[in-house]
Amino acid sequence: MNGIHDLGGTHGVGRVVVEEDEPVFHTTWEARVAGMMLALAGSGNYNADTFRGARETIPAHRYLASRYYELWLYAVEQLMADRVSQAELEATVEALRTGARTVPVASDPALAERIRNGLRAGHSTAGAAPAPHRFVVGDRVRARVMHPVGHTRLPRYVRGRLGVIESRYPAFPLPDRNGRGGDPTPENLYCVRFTGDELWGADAEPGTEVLIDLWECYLEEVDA
Amino acid sequence: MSDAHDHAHEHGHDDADYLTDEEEVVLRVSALETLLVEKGILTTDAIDAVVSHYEDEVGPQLGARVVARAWVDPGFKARLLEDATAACEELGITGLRGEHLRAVENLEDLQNVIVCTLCSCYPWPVLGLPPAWYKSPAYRARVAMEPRKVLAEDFGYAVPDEVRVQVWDSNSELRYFVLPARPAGTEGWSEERLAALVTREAMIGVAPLRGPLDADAEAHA
Repeated sequence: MNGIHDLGGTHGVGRVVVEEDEPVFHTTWEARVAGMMLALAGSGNYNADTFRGARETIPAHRYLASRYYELWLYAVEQLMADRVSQAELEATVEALRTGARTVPVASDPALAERIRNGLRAGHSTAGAAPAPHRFVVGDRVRARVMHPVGHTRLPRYVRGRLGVIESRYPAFPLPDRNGRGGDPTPENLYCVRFTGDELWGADAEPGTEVLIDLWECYLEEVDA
Repeated sequence: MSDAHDHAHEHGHDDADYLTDEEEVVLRVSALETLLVEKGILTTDAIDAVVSHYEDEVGPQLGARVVARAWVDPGFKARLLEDATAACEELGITGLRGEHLRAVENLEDLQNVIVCTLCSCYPWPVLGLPPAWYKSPAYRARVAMEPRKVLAEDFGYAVPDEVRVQVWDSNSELRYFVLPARPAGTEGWSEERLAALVTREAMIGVAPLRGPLDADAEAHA
């Protein structure tokens, strides 16, 4: 979707501020959000594409005004909405505020071990290519112009631009399908090189390029 | 929940910038945990397992080991550039969001920079969870278009004109990190000593590595 999350090339965002000695999590709540998000993903509640898609649905005015892990919290609430309702959350907030309830503690060492092992081992989503790669390294390609309302990983700044295939990668689930309905059918993936001039015209910095991974259906042939 | 993090609440932003009050966020997060645990969807120790994994097990010290190994072992370096996932696995480095790694090498005339303009994709098993600046709208918006300006103004790294800049926008399950050049003056150093030179920022590609000669030059400046 043409969401506020699609930030490449946006002006007016200020400077990059580097924190000295930044901790992994700044606060306990950040750590709990990350823990819940990944434990829920690790126990099969959603995949990475549906999670990214859910993050993008936060209203634009809230996106830039949210702390990073608030975006995760928002996405988890959306993805778990059929098991934890907004009304339940709001009631529980009030009960915690007055002290009528406290956060419970429960243990399941087998589950914790499964989650930990999942983080340590990872889980490749690469799959068998549905067809041979259509492009070879060195081919000139154009990123398609499209404006889907749902999740996509084709950012606006490359749409319609000419690039060159830099690498051929294995096939991965197409985020547009996987993120919008959990269809993990793999699609060939490429790394594509774009010159700064092609992307940014006269405003490009000299001697700069962007390399970005694009699925086959994001690309069209360019006549030699 | 522990209070271990509360002392470290220095977010680098004024809370007034945000729509949601900090106290309300804390309550909302606690409410979600309460309901997930009460409904038997998650347990406290499952959440704790994630937190301790990222606080205590993974971090840029792992990527630094990979870089140092590549500097001292040409065979490992060749394998790293050919198939970083397999090379990292040789060192026991595997994990979520690192199933398909690619290391990109800086050369005398080439500087690589990593970003995720659409969200915050990052090679977790090699570098840990990303720092706040990497996830910030400012970095994500600017570095693809004006990498030289961002590196110069925000990281103090003026990339010479004759050095090309390649920005890798990590928008798939491929996860990139930079293999920086070995600093001069480190001949004969042990892998451990070399690894201590390697910074997270150098492996993201926004800062050069400082070696012993840089320190000498500053001392005599």
